[in-house]
Amino acid sequence: MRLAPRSLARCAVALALAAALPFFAPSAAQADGPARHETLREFQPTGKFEWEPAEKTDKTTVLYFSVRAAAYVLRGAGVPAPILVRTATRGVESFPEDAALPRDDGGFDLKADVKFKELGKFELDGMSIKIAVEGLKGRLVPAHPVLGWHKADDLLTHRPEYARDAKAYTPVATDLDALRACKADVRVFVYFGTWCSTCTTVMGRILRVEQELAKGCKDGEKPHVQVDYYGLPAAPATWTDPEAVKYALDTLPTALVYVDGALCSKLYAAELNRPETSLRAILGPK
Amino acid sequence: MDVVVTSAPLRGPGPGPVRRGLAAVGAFALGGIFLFAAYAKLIDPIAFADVIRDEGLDLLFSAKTVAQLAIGVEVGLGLALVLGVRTRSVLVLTTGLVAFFLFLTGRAYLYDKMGWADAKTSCGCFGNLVHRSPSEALLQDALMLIPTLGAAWLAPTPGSPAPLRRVLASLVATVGAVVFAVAAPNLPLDDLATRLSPGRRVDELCTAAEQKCLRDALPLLVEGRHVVVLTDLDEPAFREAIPELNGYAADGKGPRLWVLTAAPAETVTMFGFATGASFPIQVTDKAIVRPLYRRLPRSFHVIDGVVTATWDGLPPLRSLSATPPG
Repeated sequence: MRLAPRSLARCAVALALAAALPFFAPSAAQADGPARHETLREFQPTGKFEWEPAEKTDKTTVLYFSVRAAAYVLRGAGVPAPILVRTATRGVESFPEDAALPRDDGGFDLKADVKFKELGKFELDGMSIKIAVEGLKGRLVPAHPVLGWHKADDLLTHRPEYARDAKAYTPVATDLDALRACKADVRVFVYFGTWCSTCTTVMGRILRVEQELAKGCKDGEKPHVQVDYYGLPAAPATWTDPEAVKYALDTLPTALVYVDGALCSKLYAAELNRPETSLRAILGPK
Repeated sequence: MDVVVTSAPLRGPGPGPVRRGLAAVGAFALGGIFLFAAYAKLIDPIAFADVIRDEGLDLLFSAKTVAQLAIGVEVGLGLALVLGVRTRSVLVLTTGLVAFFLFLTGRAYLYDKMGWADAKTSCGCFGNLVHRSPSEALLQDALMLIPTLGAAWLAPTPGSPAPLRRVLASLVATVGAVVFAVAAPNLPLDDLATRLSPGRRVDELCTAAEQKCLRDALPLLVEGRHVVVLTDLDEPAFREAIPELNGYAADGKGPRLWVLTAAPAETVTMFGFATGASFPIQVTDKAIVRPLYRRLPRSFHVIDGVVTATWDGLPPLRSLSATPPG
């Protein structure tokens, strides 16, 4: 089949428009529909805290947090209606489920005209937020630290923040290529704490690099760079943990890099800012 | 037998020119050390007052008052020695001061060796500009102070007639130093008095013996644009700014915002619950942040690991949000 020049031109214009559309218009899901609230928006799943209901239940509840709103939302079968917890005012309110408008990034915004039902105020109780209002009793507590050995999937599931950071990070392509070309058997053991703020800034990056290096592996085939993660307890138990003692750890995060079975290097917090670059520096080729 | 009466003094001849020369050089060097140490304290008397408090030397007066008086004494003695006033009274006072410094550094060293104190803390003898571990402080002080003091004692100068002009100059300098120390916290001396100033690389900002660095607390600073607020979480100016900081962090415009504090992780968690702060708060060792400020909050701007601006207080968030994101 042969296309006339005019048809070709039309196709080119259509393709160009289609390609340019995302740059000029917000995604359809967010642009359409009711107006979104100016501040009560950008709620994202969080793994920093957990909801502990006063009465044990099997029904799931998902906790969301919004930096913009400085507020938490509890949603799911474990609560009668979505609950908004505003940290600035300590107010606890409920709102209809249909007032939550989904976002492309997995979170949600609230409708601009959302109607709240005031339920009461929360109390600060030690390290937790104590909520005891009509139809809802329980605590928001800091999430229990992830301890011991874990694989990336565990962390990505339990720490949505890590997953978001991993998605947002763009590793240096040439460093990734160099690492893929390296045929040595590389094991990386990352020691971190889910409570450690410095670890939080780089964990997503390490996970992303691991994901990138695993790409292209056939089913059942192990990537030649394998990463394992060891969660340490918060202070004061951090440095008395057997693994911390064994490897004389004194900084978190720290990554031990083994090449062909031999300990080759220790990477500390600042060097994990660009994990792929630091690994390439160890492994070469330059 | 004839008795010869002369007018020669009963004392033997004075010290020879070599002894006098050595004494002059020793006193000058010791005075110089005192003046440098006093300068470092003078531009940051708050940090020195912290050291006074930590050392338990605020028994009779407040740590602030002790710090101001001690700076005055150090300047007065230092200038007297530099000007060649080596009377016995000046040398006795100087010996007392040197002995006291060595006692403090020796005690810090002992505490460090016995594991009774944080080995990473630095001796505050030279303010925030010079950071030394306890062992470095003891060794350096012993090597600098003892020989110079010993040399100064080789040839004390007569106390009578008193070198009035030089003594007067030292007294004026003492009073002037105390007055300056009172005023210094309110003078714009932060870049001069701390290790944080435009042009510094974040990987240079480390504790004594390079044990811990700022880049270990904030690894992402080495790349891109960031604005960092150093603060205690209970600083009123910082707490008042929480809504503005929340808004800045949520907008995602301008350099990436970090708040850096030496508070325990649990305190930070509760702080978020109690105040509604939603911006990222990083926790680090006090030894890392203390050399970076005189008063909190203090803020700085970083581009690709280099400090490009500092602010006494909070950063100008409105103008920063108009600049490209980090």
